[in-house]
Amino acid sequence: MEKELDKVVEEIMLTPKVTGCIFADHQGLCLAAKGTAHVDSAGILVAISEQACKLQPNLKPPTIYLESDDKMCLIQRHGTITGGIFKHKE
Amino acid sequence: MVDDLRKYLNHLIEKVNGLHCILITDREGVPVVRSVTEKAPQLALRPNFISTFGMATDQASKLGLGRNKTIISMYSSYQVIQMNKLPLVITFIGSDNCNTGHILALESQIEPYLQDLGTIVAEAHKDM
Amino acid sequence: MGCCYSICHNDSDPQDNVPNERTHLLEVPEQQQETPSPTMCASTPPRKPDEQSALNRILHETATNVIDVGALGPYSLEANAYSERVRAYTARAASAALPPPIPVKLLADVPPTLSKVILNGPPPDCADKELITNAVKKAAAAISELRVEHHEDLVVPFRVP
Repeated sequence: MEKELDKVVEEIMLTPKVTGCIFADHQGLCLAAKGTAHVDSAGILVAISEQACKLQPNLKPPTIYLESDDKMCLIQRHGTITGGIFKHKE
Repeated sequence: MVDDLRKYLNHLIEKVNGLHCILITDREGVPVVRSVTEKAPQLALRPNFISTFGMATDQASKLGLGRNKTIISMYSSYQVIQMNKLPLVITFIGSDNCNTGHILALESQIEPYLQDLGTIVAEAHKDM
Repeated sequence: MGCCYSICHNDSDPQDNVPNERTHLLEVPEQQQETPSPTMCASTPPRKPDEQSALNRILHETATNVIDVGALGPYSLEANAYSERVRAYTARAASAALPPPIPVKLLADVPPTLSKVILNGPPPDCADKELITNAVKKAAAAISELRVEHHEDLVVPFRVP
């Protein structure tokens, strides 16, 4: 019954430089995880998104961009779903 | 020292929004280390509530999915997450909208201290 | 020679109905032969109780595998057993040399020189922002389509003639 979600995940994984993709619900439980994104990281990603939303409470959820020397992680919430994409940098 | 461990558990409780308590008990619910805030429901801290997990995890292991590791129970005002680390049981009690995934992620941060606590329980049982 | 022959004789031969020097003169039923043996040779279990222990083993295995929540009633520890255990754990924990837990420091302050370099650096790519925003919108739409697909009947009548 999750065929549609699997299609979205496959499409994201085909994007150049993307190494991992994860989606979690509002309680931090993992809905889908692929590639280098670990199932156990769902809770932490949602927690990071929640904390970032507190910076400006009445605005739209911000996009969070975590970067290291060669990798980056993008986190964004939409409604009750939080998504994370892991990519290689340039 | 157990006090250091309790302070560490307090520190973990502060990190998760809506988490009320962390209890490390034996199978019958007798506490070994506990870290509790005022918001924790008192009745749920008692051995006769916590000990229900022992039976539940045994029966859940017979469902053909292998050994049961964790049981998450959602109530209208609380959620209870219990982990099978026999001879120990870890119980987390949080609000109903608390981040369940974040609580599950705390397991890896408590794991290193469980072996010593498990030895305490096992040795105490041998003497009884 | 007769003696040598009897020593070399196979044990299976008495099962044939040919009478020889080993045939019992009086037929003794097997049960009477075996009742003294449990007291004398405990290492060799007799045949009938074998079945019993096998049945018991099967019963025990089935009981272990059956899910029966009602069978174990509410069990609660008595007050004195509880306090005894609490005392025992507290005593052992106090004397045990537990290593102190070290809270992990994941984020560290960056010195001002370095922070200026980072903050003055190029902003995150617009394309990345678009990527994640679209991705999560599509995923939210896909998740709202999640439903159980009904393929076959859940309730099936037993065909009892």
